Amino acid sequence: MINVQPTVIREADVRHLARLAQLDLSDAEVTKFSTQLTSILQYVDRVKGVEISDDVKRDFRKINVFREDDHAHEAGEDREAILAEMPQCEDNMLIVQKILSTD
Amino acid sequence: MIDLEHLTITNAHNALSRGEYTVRELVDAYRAEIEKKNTDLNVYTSLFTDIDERVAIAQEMFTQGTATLLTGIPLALKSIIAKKGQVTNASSKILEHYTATYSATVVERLEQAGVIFLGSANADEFAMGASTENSAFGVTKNPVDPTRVAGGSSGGSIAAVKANMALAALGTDTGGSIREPAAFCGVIGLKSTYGAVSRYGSYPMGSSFDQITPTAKTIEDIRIVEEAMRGEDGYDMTCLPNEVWEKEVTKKTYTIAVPKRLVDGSDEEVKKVFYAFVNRIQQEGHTVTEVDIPILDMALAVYYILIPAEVSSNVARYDGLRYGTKVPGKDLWDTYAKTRGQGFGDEVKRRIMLGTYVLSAGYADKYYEKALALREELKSELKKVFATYDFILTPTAPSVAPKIGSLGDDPLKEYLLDVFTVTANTAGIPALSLPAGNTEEHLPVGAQFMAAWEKDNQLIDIAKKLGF
Repeated sequence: MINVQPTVIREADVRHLARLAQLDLSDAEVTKFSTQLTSILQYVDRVKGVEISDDVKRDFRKINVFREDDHAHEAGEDREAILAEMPQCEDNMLIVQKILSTD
Repeated sequence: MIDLEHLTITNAHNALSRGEYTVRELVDAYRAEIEKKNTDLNVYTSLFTDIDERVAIAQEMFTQGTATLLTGIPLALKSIIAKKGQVTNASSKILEHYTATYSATVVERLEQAGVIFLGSANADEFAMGASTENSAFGVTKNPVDPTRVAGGSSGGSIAAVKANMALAALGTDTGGSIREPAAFCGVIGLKSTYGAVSRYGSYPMGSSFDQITPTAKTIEDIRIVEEAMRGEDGYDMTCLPNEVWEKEVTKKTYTIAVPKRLVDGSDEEVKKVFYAFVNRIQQEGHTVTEVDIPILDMALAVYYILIPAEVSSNVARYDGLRYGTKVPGKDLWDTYAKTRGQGFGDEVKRRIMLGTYVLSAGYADKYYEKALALREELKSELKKVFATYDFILTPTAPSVAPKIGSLGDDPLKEYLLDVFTVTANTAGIPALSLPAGNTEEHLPVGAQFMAAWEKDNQLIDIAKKLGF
């Protein structure tokens, strides 16, 4: 049995993970999740102690199945329905905020 | 008055064929139950707006003589399965008003057979949970004891069936989400072999674990719905070839393994009902043997590493741009963070962060890669067990349905409810939860049969032999 240090997720870790995952969290949430994630990770930490033989192979039935590159559907089919679900769109275009700064 | 409590798909079909009642009368009977009970039980988050149209289509099929067994049969549809033109919001604020622009393959197949979907059944948000307390629109109460949860994540689907608010229902099962609520409410839930049913149109949670699944009161009803759904689909490459289902073999008696050490971690009242059920199985002539399968101890940990990893990837698409709720921020990143911060509930956020952690540089080896390797170990150990035994039998859940609110602030408590069910999804094998009996306090307990890959029909068979 490999000796493992129990995982601790501090508030700084939570803020880091939230930033990576694009999640706005309140201070109260950060505190709460720090305790909860620590508890969960300490449970799943048991996998670290298990020795696995090096040649455990993954059994892939299929890899990257593609259809023929041909006429998949009528042009414009469902376009209106899809556009109607966009929170912000104009002239058949999805509106997004800029990603390049002009400074 | 139609006896909804004892109605089966076959009985309903025969009655409709004979003209004993019309499709409209059948659907109205269910609508009356919904009217009576939905406010209290919170089973449906919305009813579909095309029911009348579907009723007319189904009735016409009877007139034309083209009706199938499923024509005119009212089903509930879990909120994470898309139905074109209807609000399908995964019980989440982030998709609260989203109208699906397409239908899931299973919805198309069943509607073609004449099924009438009544409404969107409440669930844990994006199918994450074991109680339906994680729904953004309130918990679904257990029809057997409304102070308790219906279970989850398919709580609404199960409660609809139990409370006669649908004749059958579709849910999904990624770690136990049809089996566990079925056990808590005293109905049947089947999770087929991974790949039996197309996942196209079910909002993905754990793509290598998910299955769309039927729930009903009788095993024949389960079989009818399952067979109408399954089969190859050009939109889901993970579907098994149709030939797999052609060579189905049943046996006169079966051999069953019970991993006793694991089972005995359950509550006393569950064990009592479970072992009485084991006796019943033995009296029918089947052989039950006590075994130990040590790798099963790791299944829950493996599951709660791989699932958050897949979840974090699958819910990255909810960004407030192409669909769903948008909370505008000062720039694009702020918009993402605010939209997701406010649109997602706690359980979704926990799994996103867990997934981010176990996939990150420096940790992926220790967690994600390790869990993947353990997943393969689990499969190879199960292969050995199934070389000797037809089924593995456990209680479906280690306890009866918890009281609403009792799971509290410790997410692990909810995760531990899945201890018996995650194995099947992790390995890809089929599993069936049957209502094994009630505790002294009249609370349902489920027993779960697991079978080898593609042996789904043997699960149906043992259930039939046991009188379900």
